[in-house]
Amino acid sequence: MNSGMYAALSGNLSALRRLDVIANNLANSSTAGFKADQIQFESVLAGVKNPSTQDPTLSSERFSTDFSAGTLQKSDNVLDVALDGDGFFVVNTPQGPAYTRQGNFRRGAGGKLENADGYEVQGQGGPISVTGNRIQISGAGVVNVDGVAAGTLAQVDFPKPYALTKQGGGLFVPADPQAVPTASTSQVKQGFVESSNVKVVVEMARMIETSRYFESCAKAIKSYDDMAGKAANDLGKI
Amino acid sequence: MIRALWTAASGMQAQQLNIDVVANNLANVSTTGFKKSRADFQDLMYQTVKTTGAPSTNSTTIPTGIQVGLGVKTAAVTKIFSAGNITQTGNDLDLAIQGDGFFQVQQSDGSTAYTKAGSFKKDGQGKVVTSDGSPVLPEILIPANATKVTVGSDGTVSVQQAGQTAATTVGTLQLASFSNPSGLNSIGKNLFLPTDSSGAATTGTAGQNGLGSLEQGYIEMSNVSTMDEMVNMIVGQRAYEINSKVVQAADEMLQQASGLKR
Repeated sequence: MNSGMYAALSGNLSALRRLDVIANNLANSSTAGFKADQIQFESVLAGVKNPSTQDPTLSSERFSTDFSAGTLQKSDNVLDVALDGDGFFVVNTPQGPAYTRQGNFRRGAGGKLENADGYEVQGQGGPISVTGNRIQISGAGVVNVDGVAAGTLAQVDFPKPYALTKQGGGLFVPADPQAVPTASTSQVKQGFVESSNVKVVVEMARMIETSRYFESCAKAIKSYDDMAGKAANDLGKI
Repeated sequence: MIRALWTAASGMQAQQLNIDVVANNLANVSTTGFKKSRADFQDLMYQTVKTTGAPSTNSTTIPTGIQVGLGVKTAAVTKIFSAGNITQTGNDLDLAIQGDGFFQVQQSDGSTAYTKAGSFKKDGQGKVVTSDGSPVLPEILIPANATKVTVGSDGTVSVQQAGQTAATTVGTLQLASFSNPSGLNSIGKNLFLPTDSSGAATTGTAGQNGLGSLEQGYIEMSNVSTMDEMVNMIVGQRAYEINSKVVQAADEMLQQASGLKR
C-alpha cells in the first residue's frame, strides 16, 4: 500500500496526543500551581523536511512543560503561601521528597503543616508544627506561631531547563533521582496562591489548530483510499 | 477512545463543583457569621508516553519525555475565615467578635458546637440562646425583671434590675479558638464542629491571648464579597464552557476517524 497513508496516519495519532495534552491543560486552568504542558507543532513536521533520507512519518515529538510563573492571587487564608520567583516548596511523600508550587497548605491532624493531599511540608529542619492561634509567615519563609518561630519553609530550585516529571497532585520530581536541588531564596508571600499558568486563549488556538490538522490528515488518508479504490476498480475497466 | 474526552469531562466536573461552591457563597451573602469556601484543585495522575532520561541512542538520552495528564481532581473545599463586616444593630443580645474566636453553643445531644453568628435571643426561661434555641455556653440566665443587659468587651454579662441602682453580673461569655479554623467541619445553621485537622478548642476570656473582644449591639456579617464571587462565577462558567469545547473537538475528531471507512 501507499506509505503516504501511514505518514498521514502518524499525523492523526500525534494530533490525538496533542489534544490530550491541551485537554489536560484546560481541565487544570483553575488548579493552583499548575504548569502547562505542550507538544510542539513544528517538530511534528520536522520528519518530512528531508524526505529522501527519512520516512515522512512522525519521528520525534518535542514535549515540554512551561515553568513560567502563574499570577499570584490573594486568598485571605493564613496557610496559603506562594513563591514570588523561581523555586519549589518541598513536601515529604512516601516515595521521598517531591516539589511543588501549589502552596495552599493546611494544618494536618498532627498539627504539622501539610499540603492538600496530607503530605508534610518540609521546613529547613524537618516538618513545621503550626499548633497555635496566630500564624505569620515572613517573606523569607519563617513561620511564626503566636510570635515564636516554628521553622522556615524549605525552598529549592533545580538547574534550568528543568528536567522534572509531574506526579499529579501538583507535585514534581526530578527525572534523574540523583539530581540534587539547590537552595532558593524567592520571596514567600503569605495569603496568596499561585494560579495555574495555563493561557486559555493560547490553548483554544492550539485546539483549533490541532483539530484542523487532524482533519487534513484524515482527508489525506481518504484521498489515498480514493486513489487505491480507483486503481482497484476503475483502471481495469474497458 | 480519546483520553481528551475524559480529561475534559473531569475539567467540567471540577468547574461544576466550583460553581456549586460559588452558589453557596452567594446564597449566604446575608447570613450572619457565614464564612465563605473555596474549591482547591489538583492535577490528576500522568500517563508517561516516553520516559525522561531514557536512552534514545547508544550515546544520547531523551531530555524531556512525554507525560500526558489525565485531568483534574478536587483536592479540598477550604473555608476562609477572614473577618466579615461588622454592622450595628442596636440589639442588646447581638454580639460581634472583633478578631479571632468562636461562641460556644450546646447542641441537643450535649456536645459543643462553635459559631461566629452572635445574634442571640432570650428563651422562655431567660436563657441566652441562638436563633435555633440552643443555649450559649457557659449558660447565662437573664432574670425576668431585668431592664437592661450589658455585655462587656471581655464577655461579662451584667443586668440592671427594676428597682435596683447597681448592675448585677449574671455570667461571663467565653470564646473558643482553634489553631486551624479552616479545618472545622460545617454542619449548617452557622455551626462548626472541631476535627482532627482543626485541633481541639481552647477556651478563654474575650480580648485575651489572641482572642477577639466582644462588641455589643453589633453582628458580624457574612465574609462573602459579591464582587469576588461574581468574578469566580464568570471564571468557572467560562472554564466549564471551554472544557465542553474540548469534548466537542474530541468528538469531531472521532467522527472524522469513523468517517474514514466508507
